[in-house]
Amino acid sequence: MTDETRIVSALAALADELPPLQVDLDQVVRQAHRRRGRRQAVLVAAASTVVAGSLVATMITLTAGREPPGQPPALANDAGWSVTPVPVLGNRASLNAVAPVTQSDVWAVGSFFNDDRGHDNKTVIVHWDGQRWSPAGPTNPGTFMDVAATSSTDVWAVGGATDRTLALHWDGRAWTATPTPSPTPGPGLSSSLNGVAPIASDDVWAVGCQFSAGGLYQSTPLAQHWDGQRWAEVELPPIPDAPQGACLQSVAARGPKDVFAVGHIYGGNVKGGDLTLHWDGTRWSVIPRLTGGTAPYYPNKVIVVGEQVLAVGQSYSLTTTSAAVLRWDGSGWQPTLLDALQLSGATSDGDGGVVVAGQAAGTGPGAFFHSTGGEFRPAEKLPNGLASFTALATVPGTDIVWAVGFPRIDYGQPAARISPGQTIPPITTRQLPTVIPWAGFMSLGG
Amino acid sequence: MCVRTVKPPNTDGADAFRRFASGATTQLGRLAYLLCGDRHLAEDLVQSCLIKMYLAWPRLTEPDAALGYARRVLLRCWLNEARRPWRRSEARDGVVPDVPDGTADPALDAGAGHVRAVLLGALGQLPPRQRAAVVLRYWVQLSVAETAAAMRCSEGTVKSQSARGLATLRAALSGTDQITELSQ
Repeated sequence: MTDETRIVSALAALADELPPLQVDLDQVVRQAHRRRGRRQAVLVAAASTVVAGSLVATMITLTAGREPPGQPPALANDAGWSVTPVPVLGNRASLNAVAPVTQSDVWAVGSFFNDDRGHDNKTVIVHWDGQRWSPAGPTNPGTFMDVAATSSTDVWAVGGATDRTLALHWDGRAWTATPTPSPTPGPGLSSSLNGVAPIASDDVWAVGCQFSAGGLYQSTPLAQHWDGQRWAEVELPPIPDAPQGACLQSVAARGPKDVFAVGHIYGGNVKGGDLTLHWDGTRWSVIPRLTGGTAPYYPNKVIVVGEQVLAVGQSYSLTTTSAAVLRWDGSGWQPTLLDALQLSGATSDGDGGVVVAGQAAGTGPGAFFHSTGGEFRPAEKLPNGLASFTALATVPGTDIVWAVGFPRIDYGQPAARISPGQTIPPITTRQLPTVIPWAGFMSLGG
Repeated sequence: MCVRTVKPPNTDGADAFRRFASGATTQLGRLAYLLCGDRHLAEDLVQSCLIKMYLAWPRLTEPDAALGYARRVLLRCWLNEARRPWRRSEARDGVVPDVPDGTADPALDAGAGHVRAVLLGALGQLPPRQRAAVVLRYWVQLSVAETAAAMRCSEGTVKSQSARGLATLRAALSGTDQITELSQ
């Protein structure tokens, strides 16, 4: 028996030992009627100060409104955002990263959910020409995690397939797969490049990790370097206090001899937390983890804006998950917590400041914050129905920010604000969720 | 031959709800038990879930699919519950529990009872969302995409959460393997 089937059967045995539950349906109905009365009262009173968790039937009343199926997500000019439908993706895909070269030359990458079991993702590359998105790259097994460009003829997309890391290059005419020093394939192994930072056409960093699932679970961080000819594995120092390893999520360069890579340390008997590595031109060294406070930080993305270095992610305390921004002060991170669930995108505002975005707590729209140097303030308006941001990037030399994310994950359930008499499409038990990725841009200048 | 079942007109929604609820209680109870590991809390969760289902019932046009919907409602109930401050014993992300010490009481180590105890213990130490990812993926057997939708997170998160959860369980159960081998 494999480990997996052993666990599956152990779970089944555990579930089966539960004696029949005593649930009194009369009481269920009585309580439901009582709550319905209370909820109507609460909804009227709570128009401005809704604490999502305190409402009963939150899921039903507060999830985003549902559009009739088949309509493209045409939300043009929604709350300052110009939303650009990506019809080629259909409704089962995700966009993980975006890289604008100019306002009419934007790349976005991610994956199609290809099969019912979700094991067989296919890569997505789409291109915005100023008017529309078109499919623009190969659709092969795997997922792209990041894309970045130094010019219109030098763009990198990185990711992973089940047995290898992926790195593709756009030279202005075609995407070409470049061989990467993938770890030796083996059962249960998977590896992925999660971040890419092109400094020049002959100086590109990509970082990620390799998971080994055999025996004791381990994750090994990876750093690979492109010298203009080929990718080479670059040795990383041992990560202290990481019994189950670590994984790099993102990389950003202030210069060829000043590169930051961030990720997560997986704890064993100790807490996990932030992993930060720095490249000084000769070697990678480990930056000591944040130890202040009680909650570990998990950075997802690192960016360089001018001379500033920032990382965004989340922090888990005993009771809550908070979005976190880490500012580099020259020798370590200075953390700030923001009122959101997590942050996965960050970019320049085009004017020395920074915008960060991710997922809001509860069922509210995505989280989007702006700092012009000091405090991060939440954006006042977000596009309708936007559930979360996965990545942000600014068009170089402008204040136009591109974003990708999910407007909604529609798994066919009845959702909010259904007017009386409105027909609700049927739901089927083993239906794949409809996930319509979102891409859009906004000028921060207004 | 294709048989089309003719449904009675939906004049009695309350009746249909009761039929659904009495049929689904066992399934939902097991899911709740795997999510929270506590019989009594499982009962409470199923009850809250059914209350919400009752309120949503008039808006379900396809009661045959109600079980899938009820699972998601139950998951939300559990995740909300797990977020409450008094559930402090929950491990958090990034904290992987010790492999249970099999030498502590060899008498307890024999047989399926031990595997059960180890599994329950290891599940109990998973952070709620990791635990949910593992249970939805490996017990309910949802796909990654379905699990992501139910948990309202990205597929990548589902993959990493379930991989880490599974790794913890695997590590815990591998301890039971060694013990079984030693005792033979």
